[in-house]
Amino acid sequence: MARIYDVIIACTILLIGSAMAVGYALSAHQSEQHRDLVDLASKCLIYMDQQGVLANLVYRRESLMVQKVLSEVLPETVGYSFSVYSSGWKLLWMVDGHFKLGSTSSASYYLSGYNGTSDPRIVVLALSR
Amino acid sequence: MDQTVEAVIATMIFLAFLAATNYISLGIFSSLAARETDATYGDMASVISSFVVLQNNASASLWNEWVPTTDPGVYGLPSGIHIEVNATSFVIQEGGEIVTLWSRTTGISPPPQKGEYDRLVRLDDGSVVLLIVVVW
Repeated sequence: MARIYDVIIACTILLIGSAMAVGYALSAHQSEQHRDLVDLASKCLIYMDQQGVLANLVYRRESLMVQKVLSEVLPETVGYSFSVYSSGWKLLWMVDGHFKLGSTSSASYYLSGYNGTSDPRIVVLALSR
Repeated sequence: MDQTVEAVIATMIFLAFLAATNYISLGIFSSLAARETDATYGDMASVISSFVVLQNNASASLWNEWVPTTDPGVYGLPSGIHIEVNATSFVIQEGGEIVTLWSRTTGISPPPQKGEYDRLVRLDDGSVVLLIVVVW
């Protein structure tokens, strides 16, 4: 019976070692993916704001128009999640399209107000491929 | 239990477990290796994308005259690399409507295993170019 216990201990050590090796390889791999998406998300928000579109869409809650703009601006292979938060990080509304959880990158943008009134909003655009 | 039988059972259990662990680990590592290949292609796509942007800067006239090429030698990459370049210039108007100014595509549709680098470039005339480079 002693040999059975020995083999159980050996298998446990083997399992722990394999799990650690696989876990390390997965974490090292995921940190390097999709470096371009942060830049893409950031530039997309900046451009929309420079064109005067972002504040209009965010404060008027034009979710359908946000979906239309993002689906045309972003490549077909990139999914998105567009979230609008209050200054206290309370989620106000969000839209998404082909967004996949897992390996994602995001950029945030601060809007101070609309039509001369102070009403801060934080916009987060998360992208996935 | 007879010690010989016990030793055989213990050895079989250990070997079965070792085989199962190796099978799962090798499957995961080969999957990661395939993704690393995609990452290498992604780095190449990044190089090509940067090359094109450095070549044209933010000049709308240079982008208008630009003709994309899929020859890897032009970008300093080894032959045998396949490239697809897709560029679209557009303007977002105040209401949110998007007006496409021009669009250029070269290359053929890539297989599932590929590297992609996407970039938005703001031009001096207020328009923007979405540059998609795919390498496989």
